[in-house]
Amino acid sequence: MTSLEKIGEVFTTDVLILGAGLSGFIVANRIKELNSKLDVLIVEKSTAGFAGSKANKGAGVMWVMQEGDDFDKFREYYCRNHGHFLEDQELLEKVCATTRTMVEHLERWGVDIKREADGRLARMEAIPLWSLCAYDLDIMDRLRKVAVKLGVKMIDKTQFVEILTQGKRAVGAVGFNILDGTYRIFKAKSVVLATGSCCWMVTNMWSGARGDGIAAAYRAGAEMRNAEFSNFYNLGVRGNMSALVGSQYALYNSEGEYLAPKYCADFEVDIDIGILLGMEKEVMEGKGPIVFEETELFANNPLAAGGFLFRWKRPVAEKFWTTLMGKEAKYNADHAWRPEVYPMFIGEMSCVKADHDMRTTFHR
Amino acid sequence: MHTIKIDMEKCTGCKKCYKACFVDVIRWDDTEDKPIVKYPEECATCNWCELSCPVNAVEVIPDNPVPIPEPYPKSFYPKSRATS
Repeated sequence: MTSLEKIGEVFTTDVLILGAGLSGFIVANRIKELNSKLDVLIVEKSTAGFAGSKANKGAGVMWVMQEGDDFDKFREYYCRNHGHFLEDQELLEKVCATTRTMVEHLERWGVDIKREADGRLARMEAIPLWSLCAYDLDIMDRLRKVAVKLGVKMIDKTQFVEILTQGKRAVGAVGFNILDGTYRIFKAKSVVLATGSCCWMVTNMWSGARGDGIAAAYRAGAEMRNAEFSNFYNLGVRGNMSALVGSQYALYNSEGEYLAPKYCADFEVDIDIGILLGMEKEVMEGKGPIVFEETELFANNPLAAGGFLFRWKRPVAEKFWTTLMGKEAKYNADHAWRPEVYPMFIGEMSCVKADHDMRTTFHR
Repeated sequence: MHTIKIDMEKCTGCKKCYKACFVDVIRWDDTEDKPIVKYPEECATCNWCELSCPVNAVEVIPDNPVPIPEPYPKSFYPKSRATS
C-alpha cells in the first residue's frame, strides 16, 4: 500500500480549521483557551493575519445585542420583515446572546472596539433594535498575534480542495500549496469549515471567500439548506466596485424629484426592494437616469452610516477608507455632479446545513 | 486592467504586500527578494498591499471605469435614457 507521504506532505492535528478569516481565528483561539493541549492547525489559501474577506476590509462594524437590547423585539422584527417567518427563532436567540460574549473575547484579545465615554459599546443610534458597533481594521493582525501566543499552528498559501471523510465523519482535508503545487494532506479528529460564503469578487470587500468550502462540503455529502443568496442590495456609481451604503436617501430622478419619500421607509436596514423597484419605475416612466447627491449621504440619511463610522478614532480604518475613496475619486471616470447610480446586488450564499451547535451533518 | 506599481528602489523585501494580497495577485521572487505582480487582472483594488507597505513603495492604480452591463437597456425600458 502506498504511504501517504509518497503522495504529498502529510500534516496531523486534533482540530483542522479551514480558513483564517474572522471565524477561523475565533474558533482557533477559543479552542486553545479552553484546552491548550489540543493541537489546532489553521490552513489558509492566502496569509493568516491578512486574510478574510470582510472583517478587515470593510466598514469595521459588527452587529451586537447590547445590554438593554430586547431579544424578543429583535426576533419579532426579523420574523416579520425578513424571511417571511422562516427564521429559526431558537438559533436567532442563541446568536443574539453569543454576540455579547464575542465582544468580550475580541476585546480581551486586543481588538480595538469603540466604546462611549460611559463605557457602553458605541452604537449607531438610528438603528432601534440592535447595536452596530465599530472596531479598527487591524483586527485580523491582533487575532493572529493571539493565536501565535496560544500555540495555534498556521499553514498559509494552501488551497484546500476536498474534505476527507470516513463514513459520515470528516477526518481531514486535502489541498495544495498554491506556490509550487505540492499536494498536502491534513488528517484531523475534527474539521472546522471556516472558509466563508460564496461571494467571489462581488466588490472590493467580498473578494476572499469563493465558496470553495461550501462546494467541498456538498461534494463530501454534507446536507445543504437555504441554498439561495442572502444578500443586500446596494447602489453604485458607474465605474467602480464600491457600494454607496445609505444612498437610498440621496437619490433624485431626472426631474429633480427627491425619491426617498416615495419609495423608502423612514428606517431601512441597508437598501430595501422598494427603492430598487422605484428606480425601475422612474426609468420606465422616462424619468431616468437616477442620480445621487453625495452631500445628502450624511445629511438626510437616517442611518447616518458615514457619520457614525468617521466619528471614531480608528487609525487603520481611516487610512483604509481615505485611500479607497481617494482612489475612486481620482480614477473614477464619472466626476459629474450628481452621478448616475445603478442597482448592485451584493450576494452571498452560505448553505451548509448546521445545527444549533454549528455541527454539519458530519458528526460522530 | 488594474496596475500595481511597486518602487523596487524603496522596497525593503519585508514581504508585507505579498502577504497582504488575499487574492494571490502578488507573488514573491525568492532570488531577487522582491515582489512580483503576477495576476494584476485579478486585483480587487482593495489597496491592502499599498496600505501594508511600511515604506510606501506600493501604489494600486485602478483601471476604472469597471465595465458593467447597462441596468436599464432600451430593449426592456424604451423610455430609458441609456444609449443602447
